Amino acid sequence: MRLIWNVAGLAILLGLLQIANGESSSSRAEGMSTAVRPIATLADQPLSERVVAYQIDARFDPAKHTLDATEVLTYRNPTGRPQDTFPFHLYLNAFQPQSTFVREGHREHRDLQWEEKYRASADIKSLEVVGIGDLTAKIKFISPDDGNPDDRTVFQVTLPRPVGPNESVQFKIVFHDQFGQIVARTGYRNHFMMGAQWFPKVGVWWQGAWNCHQFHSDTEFFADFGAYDVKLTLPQNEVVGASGIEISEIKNNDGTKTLTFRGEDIHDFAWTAQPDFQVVEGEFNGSMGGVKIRVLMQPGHMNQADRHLRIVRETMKRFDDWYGPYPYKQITVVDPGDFRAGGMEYPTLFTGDVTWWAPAGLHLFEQVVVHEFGHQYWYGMVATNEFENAWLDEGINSYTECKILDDIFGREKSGLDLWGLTEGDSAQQRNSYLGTPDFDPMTRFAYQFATGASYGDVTYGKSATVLYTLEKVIGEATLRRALRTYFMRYRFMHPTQEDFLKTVEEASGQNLRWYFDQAVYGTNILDYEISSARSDRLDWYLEKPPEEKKGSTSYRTEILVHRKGDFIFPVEVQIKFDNGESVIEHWDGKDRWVRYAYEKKAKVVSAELDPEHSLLVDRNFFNNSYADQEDTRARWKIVNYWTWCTQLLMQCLSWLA
Amino acid sequence: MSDQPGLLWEGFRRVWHYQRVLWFIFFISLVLGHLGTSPVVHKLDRMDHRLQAKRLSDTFDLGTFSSFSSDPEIKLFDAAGTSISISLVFFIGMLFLTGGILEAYRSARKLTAREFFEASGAYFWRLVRLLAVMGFVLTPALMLAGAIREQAGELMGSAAEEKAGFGLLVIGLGFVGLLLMCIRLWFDMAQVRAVVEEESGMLRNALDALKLVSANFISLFWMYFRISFFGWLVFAAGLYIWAKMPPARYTWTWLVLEVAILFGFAVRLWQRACEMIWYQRRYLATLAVPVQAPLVPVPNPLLTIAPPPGEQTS
Repeated sequence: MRLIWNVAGLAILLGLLQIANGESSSSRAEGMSTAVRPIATLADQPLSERVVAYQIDARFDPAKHTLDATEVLTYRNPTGRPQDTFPFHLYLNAFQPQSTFVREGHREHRDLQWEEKYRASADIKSLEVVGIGDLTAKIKFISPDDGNPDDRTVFQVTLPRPVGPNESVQFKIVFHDQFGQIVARTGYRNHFMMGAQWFPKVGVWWQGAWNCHQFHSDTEFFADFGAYDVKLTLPQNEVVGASGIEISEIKNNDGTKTLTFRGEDIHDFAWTAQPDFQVVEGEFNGSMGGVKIRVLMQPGHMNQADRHLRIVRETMKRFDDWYGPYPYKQITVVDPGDFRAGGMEYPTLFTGDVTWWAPAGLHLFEQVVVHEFGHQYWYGMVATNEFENAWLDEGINSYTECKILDDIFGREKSGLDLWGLTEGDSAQQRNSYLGTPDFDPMTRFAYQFATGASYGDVTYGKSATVLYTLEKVIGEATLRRALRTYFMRYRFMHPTQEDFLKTVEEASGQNLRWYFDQAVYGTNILDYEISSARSDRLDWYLEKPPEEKKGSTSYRTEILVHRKGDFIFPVEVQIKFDNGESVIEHWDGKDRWVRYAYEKKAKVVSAELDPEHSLLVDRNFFNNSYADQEDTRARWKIVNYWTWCTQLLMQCLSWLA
Repeated sequence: MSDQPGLLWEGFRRVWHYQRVLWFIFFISLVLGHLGTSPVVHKLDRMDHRLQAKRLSDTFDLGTFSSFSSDPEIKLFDAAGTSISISLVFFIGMLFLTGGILEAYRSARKLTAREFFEASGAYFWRLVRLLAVMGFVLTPALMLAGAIREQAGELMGSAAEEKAGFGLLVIGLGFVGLLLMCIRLWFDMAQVRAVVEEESGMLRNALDALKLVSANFISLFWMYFRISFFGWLVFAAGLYIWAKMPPARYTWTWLVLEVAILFGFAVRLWQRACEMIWYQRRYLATLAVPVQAPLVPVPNPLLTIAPPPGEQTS
């Protein structure tokens, strides 16, 4: 017993010495070294301040859907203060019936059925702190967001002594994963396997506190940048894709192979495996060099492979030209085996969502690919907090998705161009926003939105619409420049929403608080209306006025503009007269209404607010104009179609008679 | 496959001969359809002076339409309730008219309006009871359709089983569609018997009709299916022409769609006429036994012909 205490004391003493010298074993880990030339990126030196280095040696059993791994996490304390408590995500535990994720999911979808095949778990077999010893018994599950005692997606461990500023600490964690059938993002479906949120991941010290949220129904993720060295052992027939790049493959005698991946300047690591993935490769030559595009297609979707490559290249080109370079050597695109794993982003890897029959005019697939690639920038590199500022990645990304698709397909057809029906992507985003426009501000924490619909409509739809409308204020080119500045300045960092907003103000040279306060921080509704536009003869009072004659009869024209909503926005009003004259008025919108009056030898033809149709955040476009001439064509067209649909319903029902 | 040559042509002739029934039904559907739009018209008034409406008249921009229809001040689809209610009224009306339609096809002469509506009223409650019996038969078929849809949806969620899911959906729902056609055919014949045989016990009538259809299934179904297929082709052609027409020519596109509706009703009446003729031919063939002929009473248009020997059920 005494011998044990002596050995332990010696180990602690050595550990302390190492820490004191700033030269702990962890600091020598490859990922932490800034001297090593990167191999997974196109840069000459590390692109991020690598706070973490993960070395994971994992063995996956596809028959049991289990994974056993040893993880060595080296954490360099960047907090500027001693730290003795470290929180970790253990997100695979979200897929349990009592978890916060499932509880919130059930709140949103009351018909949600729990089945045991969905159950997943991550168990810590042991947790050792190098130089300190085994702290497995010290693991404590916490629920910082909702206090749910049954949620096991976050745990923390307290060290017997703190880690000093800029010192490193090394955690050695042995864990066992049991994957479930895919509910959301991670798990298996038949032979397809998506390994996401599969390893214990340390929280982020951000804004003076640990930021390590539970896994919620509507939230995504947040982690520190670093280097990942992942060894994955699995059967030799598996075709594998992963974050980073593959640097070696060793075939083992037991029918397995061990693949080694290296990811640098990334903040998460995901992988996928399926025996019959079809690999399609291409290349994109960006401003930092050639990037390999590796697409893992489902065998039944090979007719869509070229479409994948084409849209990825088109998207990368525009991101490179408009916002900044893609610095990684590879991007892996996964056509998932289950749609529940589709449309999700991970560093240098994302999942699409396509079907074998997807027609070319239905741009839903392109929207997903452009969006998920966009996350390489707005999440992958500009690593904002997806729990607390979800609009910064989803909203900005939805906006850039629209811009890119508009550029490729045209603004009116970027969402749909099929059988004579058209719809722009920006119109879809706007319509999404109009679904629940005033429950939550964009800045609400993602898991605190009133409903899942409000989260989606505001975080994606409203944010994109607000940025589109911002073009009206500062110009499209200025906003693009602001986004480029924001990207270049904050890539490989964790900026806040104020960082973004200030960058936009800086790029535009304008104080935009009046707009941000209403659109970003507020729930104000913008709705302007042309209440009336009429021309009356000046000699109306005469008992027998002369015959009305175009060009010689004088009229008094009055246009009444009404601000119906509580969102104040300066607008233009264009008034057209029947002599071809056109007048543009500028109204600051501060009062509730304004009246414009003219005396001319011409009658009003139309009055229109926002004639360029750039105020997308306006809730109702129809009341933005008033034409003197009645045009009933649209009304009758809809009435006719409505009649026909009713008749069709009658015909179907009468089949039963 | 048909045991009665010229049946379709004879059925077509009978629909043509009594085409005012078709026009009457179409007219009712048109009037009710327009009635169903009255709340929509009211909501659409406000777009008459709006420039944005050009995006719907000159083209048909889905984004513009969905933003207009979902506007809290408009809520266009709230008006759907009226259309659904009116469709239910039409359904009840069609159930009422079925007796008159079948009597018209059975009769050797044109019915007066009074005779037509008297026949409609005379058979209405029998057909309601028959509908209730059909409801019991349809329920498991519809449940099967629901189960197939759910299972296919589950399969289509997986890329490896996507095509299998799609196949299940197409084949499964196709099978259910055929099943529904069979059930419809069965109860069509029960309706024919109810009119021709003056049947009053609808459960017994349904069972007898089932025996009749089972014994002559291929012949009857082939007749029913060919007419349905023709109807589908015409409907698809109508939609195709509609999709190819310039969106601004909405009067013409509407006319094309209305023609498709008219054909839909015509096809259904064609089926009913053929079923009636098929039954009558079979019945008349039985009557052709010389000894039995004088015993048959002269048919009163509003009374039915006595059933063939051996099929007396009431």
